[in-house]
Amino acid sequence: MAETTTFTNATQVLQPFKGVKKVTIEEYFSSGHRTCQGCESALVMKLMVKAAGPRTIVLGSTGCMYVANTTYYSTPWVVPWMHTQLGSSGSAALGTAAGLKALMKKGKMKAEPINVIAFCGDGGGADMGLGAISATLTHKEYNSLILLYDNESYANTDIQASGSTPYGAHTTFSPPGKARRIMHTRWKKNTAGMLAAGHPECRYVATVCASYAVEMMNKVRKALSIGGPTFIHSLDPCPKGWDYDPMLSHELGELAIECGIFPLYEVEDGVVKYYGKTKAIVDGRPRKPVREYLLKQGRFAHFIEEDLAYFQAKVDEMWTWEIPGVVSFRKDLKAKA
Amino acid sequence: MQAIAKKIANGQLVAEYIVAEGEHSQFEIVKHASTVGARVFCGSSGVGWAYAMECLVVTPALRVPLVAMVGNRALDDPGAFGVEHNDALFVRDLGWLLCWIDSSQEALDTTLIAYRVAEDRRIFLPIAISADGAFLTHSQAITKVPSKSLVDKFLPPYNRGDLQLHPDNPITVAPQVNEDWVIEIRRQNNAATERAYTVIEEAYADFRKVFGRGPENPWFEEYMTEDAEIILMGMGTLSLPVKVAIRKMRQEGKKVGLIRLRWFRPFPYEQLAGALRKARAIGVIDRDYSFGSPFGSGVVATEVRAALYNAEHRPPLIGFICGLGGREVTLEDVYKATEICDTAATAGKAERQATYWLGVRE
Repeated sequence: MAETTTFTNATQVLQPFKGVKKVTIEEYFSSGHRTCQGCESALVMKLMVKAAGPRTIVLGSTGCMYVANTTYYSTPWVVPWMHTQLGSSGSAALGTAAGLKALMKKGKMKAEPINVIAFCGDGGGADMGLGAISATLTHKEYNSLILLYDNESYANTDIQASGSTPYGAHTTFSPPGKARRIMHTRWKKNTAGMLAAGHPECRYVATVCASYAVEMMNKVRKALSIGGPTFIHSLDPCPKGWDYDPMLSHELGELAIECGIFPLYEVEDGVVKYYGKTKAIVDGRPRKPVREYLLKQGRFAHFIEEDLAYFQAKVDEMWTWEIPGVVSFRKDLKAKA
Repeated sequence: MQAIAKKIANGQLVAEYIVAEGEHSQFEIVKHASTVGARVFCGSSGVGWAYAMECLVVTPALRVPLVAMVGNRALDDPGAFGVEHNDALFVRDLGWLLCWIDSSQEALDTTLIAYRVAEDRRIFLPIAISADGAFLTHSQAITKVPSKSLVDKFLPPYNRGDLQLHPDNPITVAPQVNEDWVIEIRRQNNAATERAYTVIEEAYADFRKVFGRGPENPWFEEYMTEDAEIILMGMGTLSLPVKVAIRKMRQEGKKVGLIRLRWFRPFPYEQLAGALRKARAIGVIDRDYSFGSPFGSGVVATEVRAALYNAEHRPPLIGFICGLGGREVTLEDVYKATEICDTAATAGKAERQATYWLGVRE
C-alpha cells in the first residue's frame, strides 16, 4: 500500500523570542491548578507550553505537576493533556508521536507538525523513567521533547529523597539524627550530561532554570524545532521541599547557577554551549561559595562546616571535568606524559 | 512479532514499528498511540508481561482498545519456556477481556474479532489473546488468510471520537479524581465489561456472515458433550490430547466430553450453567495455579464453581492441576482425571480433597 499524503516529518519552526517584550501573551497553562505558593515547577509548565504554542500535546507523568495541576473537574491545560505513568514520560512521548505519524502518513489525520512534550519530575526522570527516556532518545524518527522538572525530591508524596536530591539534604527519607547527621550520602545524578553523552543521535539536550525565563523558553523552542527526540532538564526551587520562604524561589534559582551547582548549557549536535552566568564562570568569573545557596534552605540547616566544605569541594571538582559541569571524565594525564 | 517485522520490511503492512526497551515501555507506547487514534498491537509473555503490569492496569482504566498477544509462559523462578496460564490471568480483575485459542487459524480469526470488539465504542477495553507458549507460539500450521476487502467489511476503522487527544480536541485525560469519582468510574468500566457479552456475540455472528466460518458459540467449544456424563474442561492447546483421550474412552463406552473455554473475561457463566446442566460430574483441568485458593483449585475450576453456585443442577466438580511449565498433558493424565470424575459421579459428590495434581513426579 502506498503512502498517500504529503506527510513530512517536519517540525514547527519556532523562532527564538528576542527579549521579554516579544514573548507572546497567550497562555496555555492558566488558572485551575493548586500548586504551592512560590512553586517554580508551575512556572516551568506555564513557560514551557507558552513557548510551544497551541498546536501541542502535553503528556505528564505522575508527580506534583500531575496531582496538583489536574484535579478532576478543573484543569489549567488549554492544550490537550494526558497523564502517563511515573516512569513513562519517554514512552508517552514516543507513543504519541508515533500514533500521530502513523495517522498522518496514512492520510487519516491532517498532516501538520504537532509538538509532543512529555514532562516528568526527578523521580520520574532521573530515577524510574530513565530507561524509557534513554530509549526514546534513540528513536530519531519521532519528534518530541522530554522535559524533566527537577525539584530534587518526590515532592508530591511528601518530600522523599530521589537520585536527584543533593548531598546531605534533609528529606523525609533522610532526616538528620543523633547518630547520623547526613543520611543522604549520594551525590546528585548528572542527568542531562549523561543523556547528552550517551545518545549521539539526540540533537538537543539542555539545562534550564525558570529564573532565566526567556532563555528557558527559547531552549524549549529550539528543542521542538530541531527535530527528533530532545531533552531539557530544569532546576526548580521548591519552597515546601527545600524549606525556604516562597518569595525566594527566583533568587535560589539564580544562586544555584552562580554557585556553579547547576550549570546552564545546551548540547546541540554534539557542540556544548554555555549560557548566562555559567558562561561567565567558564570564562573565568569566580563562582559564589555554595554556602550562600545552601544556608538559605532549611533542608541543609543541619550542615556543619565540614559538610559545607565537602559540598564545596564536590562542586569545585565539577569544574575540573573534561567538559566542565557537563561531562565528568578527566584525561589520564600520566599516560600523556 | 518476527513475522510482523518481516511483513513491514517487505511493505506488506504499513505501520509505525517500534522496538521498545522493555514491556513497561512497550505497553505505554501503544497506550499513548491509541489515545491519539491509531490502531495498535503488541505482545509479551510470562515475566515480561509481569514487567508491564503497571501499564496493564491503566490500559483498561483509560478505555484503550489495545489488542495484545500473550504467549503464555511459566513465570520465573524457576525458569521454563513452556506454558502456564498465570501470566495472562494476572489481569483478570482489571477490565481486560481475555480469551484463549488453540490453533493458528483461531489466532487469526480471533485477532480480527478482538479488534472489532475492543474498538466498539460500547466497549473500548483492551483484549489479550492467549496462546500457549511453545505448543502454539512456536508451531506452524496452514492458515486461511482472508482478503483485505472482506476484512474491511467486517472491521470498521478505529474511531476514538471525542476521546481523541489532539490540538483540535483539547481535552485533559486521566486527571486525579480521588474518592470523589473513582467508584463511579470503576462502575462504568464494569458496565462496559457487561456490554461485552452482547458485543462479542454480535461480532461472532457477523464474522460467520462475512467469512463463512467460525463458531456459533463464541464462548466455548463443545466436543462430544451432547450425551456426555462426564465433562472435562480446560483452556488452550490441552484440547488436543483431551480430544484424543475422549475418542479412545468413547470406544470403551464411556460418555465423556470436553468444553474448551475460549473467553475467560467476560466469563460465560450463564452459558456454562446451561451446557453443564446434564453432566453427572465435571473435571476442570487448570494449566495454572492459585495457591491458597478454595479447595486448592486452579483459577478456572474456582470460576466454574462460582458460576454454578446459583445453578439448579450442580454436579460434583473436581479440580485438576496439570501440564505446568510446559509439561505435556498426556492421555494417561486425562484417563486418570476421568476415572476420578467417574467415581465422584457414582458417589454423587466429590471426595473431600477436591483438587488433584496430575502427571507430577513423587
